[in-house]
Amino acid sequence: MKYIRLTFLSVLALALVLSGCKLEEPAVKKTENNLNGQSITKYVALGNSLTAGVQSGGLMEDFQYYSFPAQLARQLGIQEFGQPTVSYPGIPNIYELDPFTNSIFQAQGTGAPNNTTYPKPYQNLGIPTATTWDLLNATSSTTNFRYYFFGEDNPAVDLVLRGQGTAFDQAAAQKPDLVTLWIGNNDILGYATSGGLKPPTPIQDFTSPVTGVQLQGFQSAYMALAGKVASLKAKVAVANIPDVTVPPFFKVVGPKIAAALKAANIPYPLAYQKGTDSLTTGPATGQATQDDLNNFNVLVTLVGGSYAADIGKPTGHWYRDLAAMKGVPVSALLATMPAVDTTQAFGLHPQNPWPSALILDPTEIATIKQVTAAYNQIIAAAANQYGFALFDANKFLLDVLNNGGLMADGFLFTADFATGGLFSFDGIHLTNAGYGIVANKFIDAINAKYGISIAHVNIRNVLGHAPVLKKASRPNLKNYNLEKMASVIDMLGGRFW
Amino acid sequence: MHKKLLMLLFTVLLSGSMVYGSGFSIYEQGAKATAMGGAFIAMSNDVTAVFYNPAGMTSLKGLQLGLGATIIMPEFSFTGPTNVDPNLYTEAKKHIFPPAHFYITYGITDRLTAGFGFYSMFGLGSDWPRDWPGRVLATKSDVQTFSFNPVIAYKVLDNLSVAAGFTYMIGSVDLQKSIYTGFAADTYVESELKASGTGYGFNVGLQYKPMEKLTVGAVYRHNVLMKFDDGDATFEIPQLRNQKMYQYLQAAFPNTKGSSELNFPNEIGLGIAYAFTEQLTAEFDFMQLGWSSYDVLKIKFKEPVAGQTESEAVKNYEDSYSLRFGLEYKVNENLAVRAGYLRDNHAVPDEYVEPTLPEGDRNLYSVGLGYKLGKVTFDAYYMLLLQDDRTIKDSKLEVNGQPFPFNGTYKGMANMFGLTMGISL
Repeated sequence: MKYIRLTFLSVLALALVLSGCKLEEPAVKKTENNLNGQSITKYVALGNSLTAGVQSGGLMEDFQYYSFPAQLARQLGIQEFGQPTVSYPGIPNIYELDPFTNSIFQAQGTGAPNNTTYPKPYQNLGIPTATTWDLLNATSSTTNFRYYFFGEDNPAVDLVLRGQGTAFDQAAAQKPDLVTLWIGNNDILGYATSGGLKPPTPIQDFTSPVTGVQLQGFQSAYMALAGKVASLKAKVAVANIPDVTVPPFFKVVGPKIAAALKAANIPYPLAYQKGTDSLTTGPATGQATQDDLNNFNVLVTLVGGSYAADIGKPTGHWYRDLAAMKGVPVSALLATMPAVDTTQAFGLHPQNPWPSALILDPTEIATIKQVTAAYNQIIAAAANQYGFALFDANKFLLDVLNNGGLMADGFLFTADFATGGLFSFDGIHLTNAGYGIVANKFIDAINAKYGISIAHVNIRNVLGHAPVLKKASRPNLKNYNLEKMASVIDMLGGRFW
Repeated sequence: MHKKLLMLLFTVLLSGSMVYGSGFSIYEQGAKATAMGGAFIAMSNDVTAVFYNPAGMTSLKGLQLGLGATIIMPEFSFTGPTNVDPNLYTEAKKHIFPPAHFYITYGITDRLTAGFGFYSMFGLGSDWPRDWPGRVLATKSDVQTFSFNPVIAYKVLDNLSVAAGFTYMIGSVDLQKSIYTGFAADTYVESELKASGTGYGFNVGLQYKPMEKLTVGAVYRHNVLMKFDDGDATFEIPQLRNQKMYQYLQAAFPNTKGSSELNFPNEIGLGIAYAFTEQLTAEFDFMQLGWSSYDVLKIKFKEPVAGQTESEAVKNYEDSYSLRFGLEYKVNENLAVRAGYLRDNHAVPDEYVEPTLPEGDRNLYSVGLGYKLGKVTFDAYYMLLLQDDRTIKDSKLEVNGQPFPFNGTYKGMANMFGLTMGISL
C-alpha cells in the first residue's frame, strides 16, 4: 500500500511541477531606445505647417496627434508635448475625399482652437505659413514676414505664439535638450503654388516690392536662426527643403488635361500665360503639348482642377473668380487686360489662355529647382557649421518619386495623390503615416549624429486612424477671427499652411 | 432550428476545443491513451477504443460507458513581424479549452460489439489583440467540431478483429480579422464570419494478435467534407467623420451571407504493442493526417463584399505525421501508471504559417494513472506540449491579393489535463 501511495504521489508531484510550465516571456518586448546614458526630456519643435502637423489643408487635432514632432515625442517617452490643437473640421476646414465621385470636398462646420489654456508655451511651435525669418522675428498676425512682404496678415502666428514673443524665444525659455528645425519650405512654396506669381524669398537681403519694407534674405535669416538655435546647447536636427514640384499638388491635373484633350481629339496645345504675363500687352505665348503635360515639363496646380472642365469653352469663369478675390468688378479687371477675349476657347486660344496662376512653366520650374538648391546649400552649410543632425528631406522625396515609392513596415507608399499614402488630400502636406515616416527619418539623423538609438515609430500603428466621430467635444475657450484664416488652397495668395 | 439548438447546447456545454495535434486535429479523446502519448491503436482495450481503434471493442464485455474531458491550456506568442519590429512581442490571449468525450459499447454477442462515440476531433482557437500588427490576418479564430460516431466491431478470428463506423460531424467556425481599407479611407473594418455546417465520413479499424504478447492495430478515418452554408458575414465599420466615406464603406461591406467548404483530413494510423511482462506493456504508433486536403479556403458571398463575391485564401497544408510512444506499468490489479512521448510534425509549410493557427513541430510528454474501483475506472493524465520555436523567414501570406509577408517567430506550449471515467455494467 505504501508503494502505491508513493507512486501516486510521485506522479502527482511530477505533474504539478510540469504544469507550472509557462511560455517564457522575453525580456525585450519591442525595440527600445538606447540613449547611451544621455537623456532627452524636453523636446521643442520649430518649423512651419509640416512641423505643426497640417494635413488635408487644415490644422485639426486628430491629425495633429500624428504630427511628426508629436510622434517623435512619443518615441522618446515624453509626456508633455503641447500642441495648439484645433477641433474638427479644423482651421482651415480640412479636405475630405468623396469616394462616390472621386473628388475632394471641404468638411462642413467650424473648427476652434481647444488647447488654449495649455501652460505657455507649446512644445510644438510649428507655425503654419512661417518662413525662415519668422522664427526669430514674428510675434503676431501683423508682425511677420508675410505681412511685411505681401501686406497680408497671418492669424496662424497668434494661434501658436499666443502673444508670448517669438517662436525661438519661446523655445529657448523651455531649455530644450532636443530641437527639431524644419523651415524654409514657405520661402519657396508660395512662388510654386501661385504659379510663379509671388516671388520667393531672395537669398540676399531685399526690399519688399509690395510694402517697401527692408527684409532679410534667406541666407542671413537662416544663418541667424541657426546660430541662435545652436546657442541652446541642445541636440538639434534640421531638415532641408524638398523640391516642392514633387508633391501631388502639381502632378494630378496636368495629365488629366492631357487625357481630356486626347479624348476630345483636340490637336491644339494648352495655351497658357507665361510667367507673370497678365495679357496687358498682348496674347499669351505659352504652349504646352499633351506630352509637356504628361511629362511634367509644365506643372498645373491642383487648384487648376476647378477650371480644367472649362477648357475649350468660351468662358470668363477664371476672370470672374479672380475679380471676386481681388474685390473688384470683372469689367474693371478686364479693362486692365485688353488682350483678353472670353468669347474665345478657354485654355486653347491665346486671348483666353490658361492662367499663369494655375501653371508653372519650364522657366518657373527651373527657378524653383535653383532656389531650392540654393536654400539647401545654406541649410547644409549651417548644419555643418553648428554640428546639427541633417535629414535630407529633398533627397528622401526625390527617392520616393524615382524609386516608385518606399516600403515602410510592409506597406508600399508612393507620391500618388490620395492613394499613395504619403500625401494628404491637399497634395502638399503629409498623412499620419507620412509624418510617421518623417519622424523616423529625423530619428535616423539624430541617432547617426549623436550616437544614440531612438526606436522607430511603428508605422503599422499609425495606419487606420482616419478621424472618427467622438461624442464629447472640448469647449472653445478663445475666440479667433476664423474668417481671416483663408482656405489653404488659396489660389493667388499661396497661403499654404 | 433543431440543429441550431443542438449546436448551441454543445457550444454552451463544451465551448470549444483547441489547437493540438498537427494542423487542428485533437487526439486527446481518452485519458488512458493520452497518458501513453496517444499510442493506443494496437492496445485499444478500454471504452475509448471507439475512437482510437474500434476493432479493440471486441475485447469489451457487456455494457461499458466512458465519459471524460480534457482541459487544454495553450499559450502562444509571436515576435515580429520583422518588417515592422523584429523584437515586437505579442502574446495571444489565454483561453482554456475543455473538449469532452463520451463513449458507450455493448457486447451483442461474444464476437459482435456495437459502440458509439461523441468527441471533438478538430478544433482551433486563437485570440490575438485587436490592434496587433497581424490584425489583417487574424484576430480571433474559433473552429469547433463534434463527431457522432456509431461503430460496430466483429471478431473474425480469435486473434483478429475488424470494425467499421459512420461519422456524422457538425461544426462551427468563427473567424475574425480586420480589413484595412487602403490609404484613401485609412481605417480598419472588423470582419466576422460565423457559420455552422455538417459533414459525413466513415472509419475502419483492425486489431490483430499474431502472438500472445504482440498486438498490432490499424485504423483509417476518411476525410469529412463539411459544408458551411449561409453563414453570417458581418462587418463593423468605424463611424468616420467623413460621412461620404462612411456611407461608401457601408455600401462596400454589407452584412451578408457566406458559404464555404472545409475538407477535414483523413487519418491513417498503425500501432504495435508488446507486453514485456504481465505488468509492462509498450506501444509505438505511427499516424498520418492527410492535411493536404486543406489547400484553399474559399468563401462565397451572397452580396459582393468590397466588390468581390468570392474570397480565396491559400492554405497549402501538407500531410503531416506523428510518432507516438507509450508505456503502461500495472503496479497491481487496481493501479496502473503510464507515460508517453510523442512527436508531432507540422502540417502548415513555413511560407503559409499564419497566426490563425500558430502550429509547428511539437514534442509532447505525458504521465498518467489509472485506478480501478470495482466497476468504475478512473484514468487521469497530465500532458505537456512544447512546440519548437518556429521562425518564418519566407512568408508568402497575402492580403487582398497583395503580398503580406509575416515573418517572425512563433512560440507555443500547452498544459493539458484529462480525466476519463469508465463504468463497466
